[in-house]
Amino acid sequence: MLEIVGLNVRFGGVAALSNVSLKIEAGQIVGMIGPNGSGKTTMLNAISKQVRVSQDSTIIFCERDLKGRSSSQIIRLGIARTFQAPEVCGEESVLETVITGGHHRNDSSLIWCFLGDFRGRRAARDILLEAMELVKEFEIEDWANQKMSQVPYAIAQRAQICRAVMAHPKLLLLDEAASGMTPSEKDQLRLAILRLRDERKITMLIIEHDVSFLSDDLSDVMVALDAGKVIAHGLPGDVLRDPAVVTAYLGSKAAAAVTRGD
Amino acid sequence: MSTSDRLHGKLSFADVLWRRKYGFVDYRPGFFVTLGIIVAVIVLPMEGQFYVYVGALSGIYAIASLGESALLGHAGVVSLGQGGILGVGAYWTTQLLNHGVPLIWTLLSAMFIGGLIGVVIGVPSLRLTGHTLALTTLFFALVVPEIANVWTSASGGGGGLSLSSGLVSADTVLYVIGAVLIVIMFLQIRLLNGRFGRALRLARDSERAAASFGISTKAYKVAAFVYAGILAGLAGGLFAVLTGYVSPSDFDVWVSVYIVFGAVIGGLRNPAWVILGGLFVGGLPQLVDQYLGLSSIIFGVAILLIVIPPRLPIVRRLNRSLVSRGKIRLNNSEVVNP
Amino acid sequence: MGRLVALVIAGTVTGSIYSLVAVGLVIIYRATNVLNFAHGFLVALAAFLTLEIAQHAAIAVAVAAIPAILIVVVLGLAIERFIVRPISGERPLTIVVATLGVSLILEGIITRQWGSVFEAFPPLISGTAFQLSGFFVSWNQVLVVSVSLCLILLLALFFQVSNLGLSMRATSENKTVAKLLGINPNLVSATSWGLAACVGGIAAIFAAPQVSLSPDAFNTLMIQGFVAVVLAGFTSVSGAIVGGYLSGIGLNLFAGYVTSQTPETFLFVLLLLVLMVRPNGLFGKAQHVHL
Repeated sequence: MLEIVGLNVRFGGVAALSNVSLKIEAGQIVGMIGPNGSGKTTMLNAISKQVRVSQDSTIIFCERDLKGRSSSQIIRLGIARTFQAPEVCGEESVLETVITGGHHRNDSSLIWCFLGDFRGRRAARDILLEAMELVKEFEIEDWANQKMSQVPYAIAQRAQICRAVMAHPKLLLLDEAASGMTPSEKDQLRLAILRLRDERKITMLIIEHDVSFLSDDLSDVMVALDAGKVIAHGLPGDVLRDPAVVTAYLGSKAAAAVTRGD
Repeated sequence: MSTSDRLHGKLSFADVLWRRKYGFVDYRPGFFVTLGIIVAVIVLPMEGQFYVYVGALSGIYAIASLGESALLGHAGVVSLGQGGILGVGAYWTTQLLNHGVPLIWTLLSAMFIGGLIGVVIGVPSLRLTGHTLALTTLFFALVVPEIANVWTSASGGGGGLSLSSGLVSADTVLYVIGAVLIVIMFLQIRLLNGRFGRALRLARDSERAAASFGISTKAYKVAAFVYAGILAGLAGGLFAVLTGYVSPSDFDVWVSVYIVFGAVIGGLRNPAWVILGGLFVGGLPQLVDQYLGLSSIIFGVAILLIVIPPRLPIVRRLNRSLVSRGKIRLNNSEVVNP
Repeated sequence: MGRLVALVIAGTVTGSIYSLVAVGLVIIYRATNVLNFAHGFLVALAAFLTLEIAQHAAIAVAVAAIPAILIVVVLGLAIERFIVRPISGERPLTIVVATLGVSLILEGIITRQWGSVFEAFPPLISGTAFQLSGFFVSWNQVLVVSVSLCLILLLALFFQVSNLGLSMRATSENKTVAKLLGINPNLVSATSWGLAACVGGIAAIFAAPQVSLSPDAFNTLMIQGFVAVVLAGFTSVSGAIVGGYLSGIGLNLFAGYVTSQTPETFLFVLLLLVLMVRPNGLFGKAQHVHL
């Protein structure tokens, strides 16, 4: 579904991503791990066309080349994302935030909005009802009418996920979705993610710091980044035992210990 | 089976019409309160033409403040230039009416001109930051009367321009303004509480998130400028019809300032309260102006009282303790229950 | 040639006045991130008070200026302390509205007290100083330019050398870090408003002889001050000075050579052109202020 070849992203003199290649098949859940600054978020930014990538990079989504597309066109191609720090409108309610995800699904033109927005009322109604369901599904119902600025971080993160799901994406990019959650909340999130894959057929690329969240039967494939390069790629178990990965997180002594089998 | 079939009957007509259950702001009470006030102002027998005039002028400010509130409260833009657009609308209307164009087309074209100016201001403004933008729009508001002074053929120069045909009684203007306010209030509630408003607010607070959901910040901000411009143009046209005479001194910078005040006093979010804010701003100076300068002082003090005390630490603490003791509810804590 | 010189001289005088106003605005903005819309009326008050005091106490205008400026400085400090400081953390829109409210109050006061006064404000010093290319330069003009330049110099020294000046510069760079370094933001805030009021008041008194005194008389002055500030960019005091002189000289040249009708419009157009090319003004740095 998503094919990335030779992705290079530079910020001034710094190479945030160097020659990264990745392939995601439909229906997969791909976990992306790596220490701080390894380029994980930049990866998501590159896919959603929010940073400039080098000319020789190739990103192909569902047989469509993403080169030359602007960031606001990405959603219509079927890619939605969340952000590490909840990028929301603080004075809107949780429910309104979720509804915003359905923005592009309501096709009535802008002009009609000024005349009472009655043209798009059916789509708006559907989106509202769906948002209400999603909010229940992700267990943030109690917060639905609270302002985003007054809502706990974990709830805001879940709202972000709901918002992205509202867009009916084919590919969902999650940036640190489980941060700020208690272990039981993380379990519920894991189940929700699996439901997203099974019931809604959404492919996912998930960035996560908590490595255990991603293994444990959640991710089909795992990718490890360090300093802008892919250092491991494959089954979660293999990747987590890969010496390069352990070195990146814990240093070379720990890697040696792992290899010895401690 | 579509989603709406599956959950048929769980959303009432009122819910959808008023966009209730979309969030925590319920616009209905405000709408009916303001509706009542507007009707009262129109229907109550008024002693003399002066009060009719005051009522109509207040309504004109309310219309302009509605547009400004969309810019200020939802687009994150401070425009101090709406008074200028109002002035252009007024001159335009006077000229067209004097040339025999029927009122309805004149007003519609004034709205169009206002929207056009909105584009002209809006597009360059995308590159300007907050304070610079505020000042630049202020300069625009200052330039309009200057141009009117100089461009004598179009504006009659410093002496002004009288309406010589298409005259309408003040009462009629009042009725028209009242009807217009009610309609715009309703439309703006749907506009700002719906797709457009949400997109605009998200674009204001997070360009990245907006883009990732298909919202072009530029397009929406310019659209907000156009909307505010249309309303200011309409207000200007109605002003010309009401007073029957326009001159540069009618459109000094205070008009723009008062429009901003009206929007701010009205709370920026609920169009119903913004209208009340606009009515206050348009009406009070007329009613108090027995002593020269007194109305300005009262107004300034009123603005300060509205803006400062709610934000003092003592008041904030009091508010918080009232909330925690259950005396005040935070937002609408009603749980979503389709 | 002689005409050009005369216009440039007049422009320099006007420019000095605009510079002082613009500098006051920038100092306030840099120290407190507030756009002080009330500045024009505050400094206008200085001119009106000077006239009032001079007439009642039967003293020379230059002497009456001193208590008038003192009053205006105190008023500026009061505004800062009781209106701006309580809401200093709020979003800029709120503060803009507050300063607009203050300007309304001041406008009302001026209109009430001096609404029907149409007296001429006597120049501070009378008489001709010297001749330049066939045109006379008055002592008043010399006074204005020399005092302005002195003030600018003093301000520059203050900001470069004195502790308080350095504190103010630090605060304008990064308020949080400045606080962590022990700089008192309230002191910085108060000083900036006081300085701005003082310098602006002097500017208004310099400008007064050239306008027929009425409540609106100083509107142009305030507007030109703002124009100079926007032209130069908000973040630079030296830019404000340059902007002030540019405005003043440009205005006079335009009035002299093109048309004397609304020369201010020319400045607005110039401003728009500059902003198109440099949205932050000629010398400004990008500001990320979310209104």
